[in-house]
Amino acid sequence: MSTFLEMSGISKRFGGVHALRNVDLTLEAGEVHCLVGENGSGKSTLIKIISGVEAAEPGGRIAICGKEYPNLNPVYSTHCGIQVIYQDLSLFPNLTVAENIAMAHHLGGLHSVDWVSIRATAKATMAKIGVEFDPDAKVAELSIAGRQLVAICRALAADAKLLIMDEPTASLTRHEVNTLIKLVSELKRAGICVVFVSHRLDEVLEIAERVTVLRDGAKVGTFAADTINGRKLSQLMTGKSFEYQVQAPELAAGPIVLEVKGLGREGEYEDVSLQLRAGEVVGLTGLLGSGRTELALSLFGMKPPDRGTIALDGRPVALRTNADAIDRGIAYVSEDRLALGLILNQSVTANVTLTVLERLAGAFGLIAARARRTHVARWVAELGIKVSNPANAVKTLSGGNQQRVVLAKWMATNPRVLILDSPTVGVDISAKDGIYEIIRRLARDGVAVLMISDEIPEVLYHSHRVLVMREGRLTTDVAAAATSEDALRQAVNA
Amino acid sequence: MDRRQTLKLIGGTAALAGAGFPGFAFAQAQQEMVTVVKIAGIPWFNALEKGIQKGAKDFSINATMVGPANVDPAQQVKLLEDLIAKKVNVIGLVPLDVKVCEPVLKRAQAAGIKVITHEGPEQEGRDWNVELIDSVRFGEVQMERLAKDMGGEGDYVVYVGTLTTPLHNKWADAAIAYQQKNFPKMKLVADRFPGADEIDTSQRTTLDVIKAYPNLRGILGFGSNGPIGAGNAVRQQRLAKKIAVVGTVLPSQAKSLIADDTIREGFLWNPTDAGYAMVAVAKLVLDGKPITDGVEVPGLGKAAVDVAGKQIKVDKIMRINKETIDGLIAGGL
Amino acid sequence: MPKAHVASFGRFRRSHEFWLLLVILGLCAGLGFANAQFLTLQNLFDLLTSYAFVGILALGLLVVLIAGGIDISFTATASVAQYVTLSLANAYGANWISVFAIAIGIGGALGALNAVFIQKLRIPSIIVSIATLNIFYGLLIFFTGGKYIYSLPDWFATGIFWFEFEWGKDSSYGVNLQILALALAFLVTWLLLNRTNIGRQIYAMGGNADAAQRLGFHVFGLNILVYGYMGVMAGIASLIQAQLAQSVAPTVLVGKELDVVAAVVLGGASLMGGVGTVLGTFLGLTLLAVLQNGIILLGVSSYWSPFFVGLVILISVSATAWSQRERRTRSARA
Repeated sequence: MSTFLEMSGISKRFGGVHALRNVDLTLEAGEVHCLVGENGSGKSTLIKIISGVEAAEPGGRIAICGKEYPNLNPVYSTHCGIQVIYQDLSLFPNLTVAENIAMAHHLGGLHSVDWVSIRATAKATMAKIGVEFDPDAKVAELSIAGRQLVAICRALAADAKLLIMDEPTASLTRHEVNTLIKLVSELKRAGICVVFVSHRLDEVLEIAERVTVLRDGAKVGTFAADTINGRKLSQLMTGKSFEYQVQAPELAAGPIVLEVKGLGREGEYEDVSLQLRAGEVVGLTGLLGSGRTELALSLFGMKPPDRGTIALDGRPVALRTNADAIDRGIAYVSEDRLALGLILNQSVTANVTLTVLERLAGAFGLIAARARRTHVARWVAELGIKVSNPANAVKTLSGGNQQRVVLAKWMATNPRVLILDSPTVGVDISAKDGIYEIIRRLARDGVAVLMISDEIPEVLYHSHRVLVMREGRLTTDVAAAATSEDALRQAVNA
Repeated sequence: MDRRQTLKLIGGTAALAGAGFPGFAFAQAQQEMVTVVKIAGIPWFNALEKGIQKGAKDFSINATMVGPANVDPAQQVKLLEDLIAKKVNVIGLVPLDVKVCEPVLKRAQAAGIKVITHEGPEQEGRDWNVELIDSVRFGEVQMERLAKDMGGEGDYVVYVGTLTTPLHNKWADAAIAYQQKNFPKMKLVADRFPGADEIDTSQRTTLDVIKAYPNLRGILGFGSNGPIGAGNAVRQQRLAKKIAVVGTVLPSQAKSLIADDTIREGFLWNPTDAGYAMVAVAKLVLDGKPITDGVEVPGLGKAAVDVAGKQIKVDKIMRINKETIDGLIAGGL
Repeated sequence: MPKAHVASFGRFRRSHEFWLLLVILGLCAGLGFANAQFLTLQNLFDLLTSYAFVGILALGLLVVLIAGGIDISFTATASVAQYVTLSLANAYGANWISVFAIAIGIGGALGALNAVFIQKLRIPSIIVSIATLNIFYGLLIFFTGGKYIYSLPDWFATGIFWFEFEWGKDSSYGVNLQILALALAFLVTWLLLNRTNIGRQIYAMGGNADAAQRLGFHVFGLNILVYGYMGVMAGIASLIQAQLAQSVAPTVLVGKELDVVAAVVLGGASLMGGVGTVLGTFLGLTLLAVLQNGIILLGVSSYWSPFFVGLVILISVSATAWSQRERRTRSARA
């Protein structure tokens, strides 16, 4: 194996803040290398230096294929075959698959478009990694996973030798992640070095051969993936240790709040029966398309079931709209908090009070400013939302704090049943812990929590009971203490 | 604010310098009249402004003209509001939309400002409306001319600026009524068409109308660009011998179409006279002179006055044809 | 190859343009049935001539919308180009080539000025173009006093006629200046957008501006080109409008922005950028033209015509929205 990139003594300061301190990194051709670290650990800065967008401070050394580049810039780095796929993929949704892949054809001075060669390039590149999209389809018509494949094809068409992917699995289902992992091993065989930047530690360990951990701008170390585990990794990233235990089952002995019998919805899920008790956290996992999200939406009144009954406190209820559900004390935190759960451009105050405007209304139905201030201050304190001023827009907050705002918004309605869909996606490890703590506290206060997640350890270590759905049916309903990660993984993928 | 005050100061000084010593006392007490027109910058209102300026000089009133950049009633209201704030003595108005202007005019009157309108016989909230023509008579004269060219029979259509432009529609009503009474063999084949304020719209409408009504013999256009657009289309189709075009036009604009007989005759009142008349009536009102039927309007002669209807009319229809056109253009119209 | 044709037809069938075409064909069939004058070559030529001004502007605006911007100053640009060009022609003499060169130069320069403001000062394009609309128009009115120009050079007033043919007793038809300019504008815009890399970069920039920047597009240059092109179209449109109206009226063009925006947006272009086709713009323009024309030919009272125009626009837009919703529901079920 030959060394593709070697960098040493890389430092970078923004203002007075050290973003990177004396970092060394070696990337071998044909290796899969993961770069992990919390937000602000310097991952993005490191990528920017590799791609030539930012210059390292003097004293740093960068060599690509043995050649030194004292003034690396984006042109050189592209020329050397370095390609970055950002989290937003940087695709053009309104153009065809072929054009996106063969975008290099469109660069340069005025010339006519050779559609034949664009399609040929696209087809050849897609064939290389065994994907087959209609080259004339618009990228907007593809799924997120499909778009990611197109982005990878574009990098390959530009003759990538080093492919850096920023959070490539953030919006993929487990099944799609598997496809991606297979694809990465193909790329590896072709001698391409793949760098993954990811939050999902179990995936990191699954994909990577080597893992480099950054913390506070400094390199903690580079490890062979088979010598460490998730717990060790999160400890290296945060410098703290998180010990998770399976929840004690006796905590969840409250009365049954929600009971579902024989619930079904055409083409989505069938014959689902389950119970949620007060004070209980129930984990629900399964592949995308297993019906778990649809079931949750039915419980929240947004996708009314065709068959079966839903009972709250033993009385059957008809949930036709989400307003019905909210009235009865059911809250839902959606998976895509950015699109559905939050109004990013509005203030923390506006978001937190959105669900309780009626309660805050004073004389003439106008919002009482003082009541609103008290309300917001209470939830900001209670959930530990880090915001200097509640009037700031939500988009200025970190992922973990955004998630807390969503939780505050729903907890303010005093829900009896709280449904959380993927509550920790895109949230740092330490911030995740804060969210788990909030969930535990809610349960202690007697709320019945249904937590949906892709991550097996998440549902196992933070629920009392675990449900697994597969192909529209509820296949597993087991106490967390009575199962294991492997058993659940099998139940999900079987 | 500062700049505006400075401008005013400069304007005041200029007025002083212009008036000379004998006018000194007057200049200090000079009363202000501002006339809001439909749109600034078009030849018609440039001519009207000349009349206002002449009136200002003759009657020692500080009379000026403003208008919106687009044909937009809301902008007129905005200008009127500014004038109320400025506390002028008289507001002149050529209204775009009588309904929209009504409330703000009533506010002006409540603030003690006199309101003189032109082309606004239905405008509420005015003290007097000044017309150089009798609306009914103006419509009838043009229909009479069209009927003569059509030999008193055949299909014709009528264009107006918009379907709600008050005066155009009043003329159209009068013309159509006159035809029904006096020329029963003529036939209005379609409801009146809008767009006569724009050349290309009336040109396009005319092409369509010619196809829709193959027996068309006449087009009567109210709105200064209607006959021009109609004339362009008729000339292009080489139908000038068959289809007679008559209507309100500006002499300089209609020159070539009048010359080759596409537009048989144009009708107008002189906007300069209209501007002058507005200032003259303002003078009578400001001086507190009684206005009754047959009152002498300085510079324009005796006027027909409808005291209850608040109308002052001076009959001044201007005919634009091969004989008169050169003289009118030489006069700057 | 036939398979590819089937696939591309399938794609066309799902497009906005297809539904618009259906509405137009239906409308034309109905009108042709109701009035024999509608489906005549003469009417076709009249329509093309009358709508050439709006059509050429619409093509310029299409390019701007695809690039992710908006420009509403084009009527003022056209007024300035028209007035200056024909005043110069009256004063110093000119020929077809020189008048078009001057008008294109003025239009392109004013358009590029918009791009400079938008790019260098990072002001949203709508605000910039509202401001420049008023500035261009205000200066024009100030310097000209709003005076019309009635006498144009004889060769200009006569215009151009190609392939003249007789129609009926007296009138004749042919390819005139308006039709020629409109056809050229469509051809050049189509080539630019579909057959040059710059056109594809314009689409790409409108679809994802950040990505365009990251991939190293020359964004500033592209914007100069896009707004400059709009200005060039305004310059050309202004001259053929003056030729048609046989006069230059500085006040008459400003206020017609909405017709142009309507044609482009009706043709499927998105105000969000990245979406729109030359065919769609042609169809949007056709729909507006056929509607106005048909309403008069049918003898519908002028008092009712706004109602019918609105109704047909609503129907054509609903057809697309409905078909797209159907497709979404179907694919969701699948």
